[in-house]
This record gives sequence, C-alpha cells and structure tokens, in this order.
Amino acid sequence: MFIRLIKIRLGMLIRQKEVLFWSIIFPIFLSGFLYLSAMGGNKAQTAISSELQIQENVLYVEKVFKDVQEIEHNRLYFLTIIILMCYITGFTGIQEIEAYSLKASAKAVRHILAPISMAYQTLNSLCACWLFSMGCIGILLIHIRGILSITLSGNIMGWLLVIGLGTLSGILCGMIMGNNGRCKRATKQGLMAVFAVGSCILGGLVNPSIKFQMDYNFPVLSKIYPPLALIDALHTLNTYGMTQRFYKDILAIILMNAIGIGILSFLLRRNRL
Amino acid sequence: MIIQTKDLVKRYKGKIVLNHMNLEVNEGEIFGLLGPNGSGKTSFINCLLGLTTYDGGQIKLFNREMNRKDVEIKRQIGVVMQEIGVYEELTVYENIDYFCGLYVQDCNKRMELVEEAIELVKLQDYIGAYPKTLSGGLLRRLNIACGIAHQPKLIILDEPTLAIDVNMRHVILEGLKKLNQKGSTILYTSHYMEEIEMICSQIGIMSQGKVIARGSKEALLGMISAGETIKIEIVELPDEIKQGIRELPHVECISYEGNILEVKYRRGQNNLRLLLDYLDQEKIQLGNIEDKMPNLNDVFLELTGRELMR
Repeated sequence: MFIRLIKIRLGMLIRQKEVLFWSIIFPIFLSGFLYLSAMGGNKAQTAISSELQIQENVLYVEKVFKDVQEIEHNRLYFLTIIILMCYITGFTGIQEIEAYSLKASAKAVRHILAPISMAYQTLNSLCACWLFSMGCIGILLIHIRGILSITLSGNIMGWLLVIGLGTLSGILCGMIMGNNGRCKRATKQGLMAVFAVGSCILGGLVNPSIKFQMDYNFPVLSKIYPPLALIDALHTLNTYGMTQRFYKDILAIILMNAIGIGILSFLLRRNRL
Repeated sequence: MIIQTKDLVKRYKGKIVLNHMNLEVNEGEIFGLLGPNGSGKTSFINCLLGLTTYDGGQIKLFNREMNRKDVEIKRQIGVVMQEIGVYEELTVYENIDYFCGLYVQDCNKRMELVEEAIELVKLQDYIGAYPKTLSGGLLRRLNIACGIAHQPKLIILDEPTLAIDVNMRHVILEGLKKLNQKGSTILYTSHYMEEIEMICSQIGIMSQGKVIARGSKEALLGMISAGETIKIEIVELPDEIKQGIRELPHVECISYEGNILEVKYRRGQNNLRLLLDYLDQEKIQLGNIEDKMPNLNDVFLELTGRELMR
C-alpha cells in the first residue's frame, strides 16, 4: 500500500505543470543564466580572498587557498543553486500537507477518517515529495555537470547526504508552512520562495562574499540555519575538504530536521476545525 | 445502536451551537437530520467524527466511544461533506480508486467497488475527465462517489446534493437506498425536506442546536394539529355559503380574498370531496383547485414558529 500511494502521489506531482516548471525548468534556466553571467569573471575568487582576510586561522586559510586554486571560479554559485532547489522543490510539501489539514482542504476529512494513521500518511507524502525532489535535483546536477561542464568534487555519499537532508529540510519547511489554513496556497508558495531565495542570497547566491560575511559575523546562525548550514556543507565538500566541519554541518541539519518533524507532528495533532 | 449522543454540548465563541443534543440512530436506518441553516447540523457531524472538540456530553459510534484514532471505527465510516474534497490532478476514476484504496487493499475488490460507485452516481461517461473540467453538479456526484465507494456500514452525508439538478438528485437518493438495502446505515442532513421525506425512515428536526422532534414522517405529521389546506378560485361567494363551509366537518377556519377561498382543516379525511359536494349542491362556479397536505415544513413551523428554508 505504501508504494502504491507513493506512486499515486508522484503521478500527481508530475501532472502539475507549474510544479514541473519550478522544479525542473526554472533551475535549468537559472543555472544557465548564472553560467553565462559568471563566465570570465572572478567574483568567487575575490569572495574567497575576502574570506581569507577575515579568517584568523592560518592553517584553515592555507587549506582554503590551496583548494581554491583547483576549482572553477563560478562553481560556488552552482552549489548555492542546488541548495536553493532543495527549498524550491519543498513547494510540494505545501500541497501534500494541505490534503491533511482540516483548515486548508476538504480532502483532509477523508484522510483523517481513513483507517490509516496520519503519521503513516504524512510519512508517505514525505517520501513521495523527497523522491520527486531528489529526481529534480538529479536532473539539475546532470545539467550542471554534463551541459555546463562545471566540475563538482567531493565524494558521492557526501553529496547524497547533503542533498537528501536538504530536500527533507525544504519539504518540512513546505509542510509546516502548508499546514496554515489562513493563507491561500499561492501566498504560502510566495513566502516559501522568499524564504528560499533570501536564505540562498545570504548563502552567496548573488555574491559569494555574503556567505563569508555571514560566517564571520553570525557564526552561530550560519551553523544552525538549515539553508546556510547546507550551503556550507557543500562548500566544505567541494572546496575546503574539512571532514570535521562537514560533519558538524550535517549534524546541525539533522538536528534542525528533527525539530521540523517535531513541529509538524505537533501541528498535525492539533489538526481540528 | 450505530450512533448515540448524550447531552452533547458545543460552544463556539461563547455561543451555544449544540445544546445538550441527544440522538440515537439504529442499525439499518436512513436517518434524516432536517433543520434550517445554522441549526447545528454540520457542527453535530463535525463533533460526531471528531473533527472538532466539544464542550460536554458523550458520543458513541458502534457502541464505542468515538475517537478519531480508533481505526476499527473509522474503517466502518464513509463521509460526504458539503465541500468538494477531491484531487484536481487525478481523473474521476483515479479519485474514486484512490479514496477507496485507503480502505480496501485488494485490487480486484476495489475495482468492483469503484465501478459500483461510478454506476451509482452515473459518472460512466466522465471516468477519464479531470475534476476541473466537470460542472458543479458532476463534481458533487464525484464527491459522493469518493465518500461511499468502500460501502461502509455507516454513511454520513452532510447536504451532499447542493447544486445537483432534481433528476440526478433522485438518482443519487435511489442509489443511497440501494446502499441502505445492502446494509449501510445512513445519516443524512439536508434542508431540502423533499429529499428527507423521500428516503428517510426516521427524521430528526433540529433547531437551535438540539433535536426538537424525531420519528417517522407520519409520526412527525401526527404531532401537529394542522391538517390540509384547500384553495379554490371562486368568482362570488355569498356569506351564507361561507357559513355553510365553516360548518363542514374538520374545518378550522376559512378566508376569502381576491376571489380565492382558502379553507384550513384540522386533521381528518375526505375534506376535499365534502367541500366540492357542498359547493356543487349550492351551484357555485369553481375555478382552479389546490389541495395542500401538511408537510415537514408545517411541522417545523408549528414546533418553532419559524419556516424551514426550502
């Protein structure tokens, strides 16, 4: 039954043109646009240099500097786009949770009164959204690596861990936002988009030096705010190669996801008219 | 006993919505809950299904305390609410199959049930259509099919036929009767008294959050003193004839305005024949004749002093 329901939910997601646009077409265009605009520039190098100036740890600076020599100057933008997409595909969580929220949808009555626990149904939705998001990000990675020929480094398990936890974080955000019955779906999606783009700008989407400024000025926030921690984990994986820092980021994201699951289950328990 | 509520109280923002409501629905009944808008029908159903909290009283379904985590109770319930609850991304067939699939795992059994539900609401010509392409009436029919496809022991329908044309309403009501004959107990709320009169074996009349009368249609009509009303178009009616009509059996009062004679009766039989015989005997020329028997609206009017919305 679990797999049958996942198949149905995936089918529903794939049938929605707007979901396909924002999850597949939009990131391809965005990465292509950034590729064209960043060609020949060296903003990322400048940005990393600025980090070198603000970091006091000489060993760390040397390590970063060594790795920077080996990466393309515009790779940092694409790492941020990948995390952006983790949150944009989190839109799917909004519509999935609306089907269970009595204040948001009439379908919720049917789901609540079905002889299957809400935890089971929510987990099913979460899995469907997660698979969909992973698929979309897979397509984006193929585009970045295959068509734009951007070199992405780091081990595959590390990538899977970051993207897997990142999409989960995005979907949980979508679900928590979607549970609100007062706003229309478009409003929730708008808020989610503002949250995703805003967070990724802080993580260096427009100018990578912003990320380093955040790391320096707000070190705790950078570590506990999931989008920034995710971007940092990808940077660590690709650029810094510092295992300890990577696992600290991953631990922070796991912790924040666990808090997200707690908030979601609390909201679902209070799901009444 | 399928449904039993005892002293059910629900307040909303300080206002009493359900006022010590008591109701019992027995197995095999089609129970109609009739009341005007705002009488508490939907609030009652929401409380019954655990969709909202209540402030006092007790609810039992299938002789067990209602708890929306009780899978065994939920397995036996089918619900059709006022709002349309279907997936826009699934076709008519897929929607019914999906919601039926939440109850029935076996693929072949589910296919049979889905076919039966489609047949019941006459959606055979639309199985591949998406909800956004359906009219309001067709959507309502899909909504009903999604709620009853798994053929539960208890079906709760909250004003399900809004915006459905009269012919299709009859088809759906006949379908519900068939489900009842197969063993489903039905709780049906509506403010269309014709629907309630047509299918319900037991009727409860709700007003201001409580059931003020319950029983079969005949029993309810028996609770009121009002009988039939006869209206006859007559060009001229002398006073002595009016007096003669007043003296006929069961006549309660008469009025004559704008060439229309209106005679109200207490309960009794053969009133129209006796009246027509008398007028014929007095050589009175007659125009249109209208004979109106008392209905549930009259019951409601007499019990509450207000009219039901028709």
